[in-house]
Amino acid sequence: MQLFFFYLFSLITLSGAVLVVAHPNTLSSAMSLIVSLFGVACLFVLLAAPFVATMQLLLYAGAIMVLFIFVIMLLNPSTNRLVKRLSFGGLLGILISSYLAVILVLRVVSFNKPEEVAISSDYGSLREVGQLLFSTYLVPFEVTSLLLLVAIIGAVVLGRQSLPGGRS
Amino acid sequence: MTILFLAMAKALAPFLALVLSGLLLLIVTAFLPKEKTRLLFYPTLLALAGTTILVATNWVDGFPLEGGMVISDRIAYGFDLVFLLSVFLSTILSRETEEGNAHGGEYYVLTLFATAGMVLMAHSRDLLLLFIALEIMSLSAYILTSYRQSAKGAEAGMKYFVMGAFASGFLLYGIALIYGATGSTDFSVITQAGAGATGNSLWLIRIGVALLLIGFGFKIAAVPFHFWAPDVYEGAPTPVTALMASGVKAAGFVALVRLVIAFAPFTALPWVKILSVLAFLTMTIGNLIALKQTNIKRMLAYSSIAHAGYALVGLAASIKNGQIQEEALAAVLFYMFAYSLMTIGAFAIVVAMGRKGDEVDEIGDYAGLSEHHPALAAAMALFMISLTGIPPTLGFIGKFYLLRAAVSSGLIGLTVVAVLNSVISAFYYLSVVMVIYFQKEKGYRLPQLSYTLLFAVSFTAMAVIYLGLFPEELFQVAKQSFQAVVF
Amino acid sequence: MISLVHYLIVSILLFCIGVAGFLCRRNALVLFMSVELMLNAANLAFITFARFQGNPSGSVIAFFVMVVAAAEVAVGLAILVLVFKNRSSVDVNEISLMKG
Repeated sequence: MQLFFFYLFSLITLSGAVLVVAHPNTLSSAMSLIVSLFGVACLFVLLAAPFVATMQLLLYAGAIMVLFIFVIMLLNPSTNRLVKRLSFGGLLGILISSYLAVILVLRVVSFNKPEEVAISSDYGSLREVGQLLFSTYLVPFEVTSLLLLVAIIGAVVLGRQSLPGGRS
Repeated sequence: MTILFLAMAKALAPFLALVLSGLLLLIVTAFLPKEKTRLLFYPTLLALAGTTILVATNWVDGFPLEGGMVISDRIAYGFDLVFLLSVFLSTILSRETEEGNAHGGEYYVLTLFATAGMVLMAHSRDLLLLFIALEIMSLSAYILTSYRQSAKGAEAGMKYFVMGAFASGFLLYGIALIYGATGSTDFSVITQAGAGATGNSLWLIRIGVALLLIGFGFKIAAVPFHFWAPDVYEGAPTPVTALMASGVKAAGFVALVRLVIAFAPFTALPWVKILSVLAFLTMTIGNLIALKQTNIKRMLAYSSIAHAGYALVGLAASIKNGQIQEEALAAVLFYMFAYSLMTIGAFAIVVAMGRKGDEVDEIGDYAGLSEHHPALAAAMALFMISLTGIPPTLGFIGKFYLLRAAVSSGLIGLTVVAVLNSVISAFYYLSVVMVIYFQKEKGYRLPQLSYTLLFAVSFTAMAVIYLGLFPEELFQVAKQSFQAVVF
Repeated sequence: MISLVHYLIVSILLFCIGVAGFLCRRNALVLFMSVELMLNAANLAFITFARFQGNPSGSVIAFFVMVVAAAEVAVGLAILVLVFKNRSSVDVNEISLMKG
């Protein structure tokens, strides 16, 4: 049963990802990205990480993707132009990444397959994550607030009316 | 708990000082009328100077402070000094430009936050914290790059952002694989767990380290991950370009130094070979493409790539038979310091050549500078000579220490290549000098020099000469930063 | 039974699809999305390793990664809007002013 769900979710994730990359329409790419992110969230559930799965849906599908779609709608970039024939660079890119995928996967397949270790019922729960967040990971947690502040300032600064005489 | 917290705060003091002053300035900005925001120039410099004093006293105190994921050893403090110096000088340059004047507030705040990110990178003992610190620095740098909102600035910011995001994807996947092999992102745990790693987990660590090298290769613009740099350097406001060439690059190097110290002893990767090839490509290609540039900022961008290559020679020399050579790492630190000084000096003159609002970037525009401003012309010539690496300048001394380390680690071939590269670079650096002194002027009138710019140029010029003649003490500082390096 | 290897292969494939997308597409928005795929692949790897080691810290790290991704996207899209205001295009080849 679990195996079935694993394959189902993996299929959703990977086919979504392929569509993101291959679809000529930007909006469809964004929609496929939501599908792919949803698949990853389901895999997180299988991996006993409900907290991260929830965050994945809230943060990614909820916040990040809305931002993406908002910008796509706002800019309305010429979407119906099909991807023209692949450039040499693009072909090289596909070759490099498939080579990377093949060597990594071939080696990983030969790993001895450890069984899932027994985990407490508390594993991956909000309580455990919260405790770690405010003890071991206190410094990164606080520092992340600075990161978010920088992002806010950035969005405000870049979004304001242009500098007098700055725009060429 | 309280004691732990205090220890952490003490270890993070320079970072906290920068963040707090940034926050303070942010609040002040909100209440200042727009015309007054340029006054924030002074408190920014004050904050940077204060932090520099704090870092210097901590360096003298010496003993490493550790708390949580933070390590404050002399390596961190030594690199902090490079960051603070380069940010201080490039902030001085921004006084005369659009960013520093019309919309000063957030510009200075972001500069301080970028510095805080660099400092935190130097102080991280944990890959996750290192990553977050890198993101703080990078995001601030992206915003500063497109701060002017011009077509060029926006394009530069976009290219910078896209490549930076791609690089952070590699970094993060590398961290994930290392986490998978060792169960932690903490350097000290990784080195312990890694020492006993075999088979699959060693393989995971190796792939992870390779991905990390690619990621940081992007950040320091090492060839073949350099192609974004020239456009970004050209399109960004000149003071920001100066900051990227000095501080941001040095931050990339502190991460590489930490990686080498943590991973070189046990991963059994061909470190010397990898770093040598990277250094060879970066030096040679940077210098060769710089030869045909006509825009001074692009030329300095390729020169910056080439100088990252020289510093990589030092990094390659820092591993000999799996042992860390402290002296080579000290040479890298010294070189970052030296390079920051000379390149910011050169950028200061680029800023001086531009009137408010427009920038004079073509090398041909420098013709006749020697007649109107002999002092400025002499300073530019000095920086070019120093960047080439001709004695008795700081640039020569920096290269000398690097190559001495390379020779003592047995990298003779790489040393020869580095010397040949310096010869190649002489063509384009000295052609700038030729234009300044021997070409007829085109009637470009230089605007009035402000005191701040005058200070920046004279300070860097004097430092380049003085430290070129008496480098010994500074090198001792660099050397003592790398005593008994462990995690 | 599903093992570490299964999840790891999914993660590797996701990462490589992201890399491929980044290298062969020219639309800046799609480039951003490819980077999101790479970050998600890393998150999947973190959670997988954590699960098979019984190590609870994986969830926390994944959480940080999401926050970083959110901050990156905010700044990236702001820059993109700026580019579009100036050049009316998000194609990284079309917007090029600088060459050499």
